[in-house]
Amino acid sequence: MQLENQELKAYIDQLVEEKVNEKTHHFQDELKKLQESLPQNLGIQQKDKITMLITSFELDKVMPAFIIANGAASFGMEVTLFFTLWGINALKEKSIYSGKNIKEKMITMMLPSHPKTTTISRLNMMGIGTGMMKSMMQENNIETLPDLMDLSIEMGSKLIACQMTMGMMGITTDEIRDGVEYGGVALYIEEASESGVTLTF
Amino acid sequence: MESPELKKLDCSSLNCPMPIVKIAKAIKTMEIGEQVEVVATDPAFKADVEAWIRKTGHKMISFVEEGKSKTTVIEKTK
Repeated sequence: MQLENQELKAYIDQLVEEKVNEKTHHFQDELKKLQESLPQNLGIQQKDKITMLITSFELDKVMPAFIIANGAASFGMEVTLFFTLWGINALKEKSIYSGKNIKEKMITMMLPSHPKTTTISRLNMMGIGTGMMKSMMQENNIETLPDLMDLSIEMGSKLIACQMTMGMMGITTDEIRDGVEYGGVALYIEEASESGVTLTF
Repeated sequence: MESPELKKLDCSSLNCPMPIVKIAKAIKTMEIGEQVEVVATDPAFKADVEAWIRKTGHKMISFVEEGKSKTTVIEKTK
């Protein structure tokens, strides 16, 4: 059938167009939503999180944690480090003895009072090994642990100190450096459950 | 020919992760379309900066390696 009347043809085209749009607009909306959510699903958007559990204070455990933390922060990731047990000692900036009982005083004496005075976990040899390791790091212009820690706070990493450990060892908040939050396992799990990467040191 | 916006960032003799940290910090202060020229000697720099580019979506304009020294130009895209 040939349509002689151009106006009629245009009118029918318009009607068909409207009808098709009406029937398919649900699909179009769905498609739009899917397209918008695609980058998030593929992880292209910077919503990645990383959490680390630090249970040691030694140089060779804490340094990699902070190097990875600073690297991850440079990737735009949200970084959380949870310090528990021996790990708490990595966050200390001084040792306080007053007000502590004999056991707490003893443990305070045996543990480092600042990341500067921390040792390596193997081949320490009464401090000779640690001294050698530190001089090798300096020769290679590797950042010191205190610098890496300051940088991580500057980059927005969240440092959480386990309050249960602090209570057990008698460590007070006055001994802990600035920029540290205090909490328990729930605070860590909240962050870890949203993280694509979790590490233990 | 260098464009007028080209910033310079010297990361020579810095070790992992400092070049990447410095690049991330520099990119934050830049406008979209601006470029930064980074010089580094870190042995892992090529692999690291390429991974950083893949993940963050910024653009690597060039990468030149001369002995230990590596020079790359990065453009901020977003």
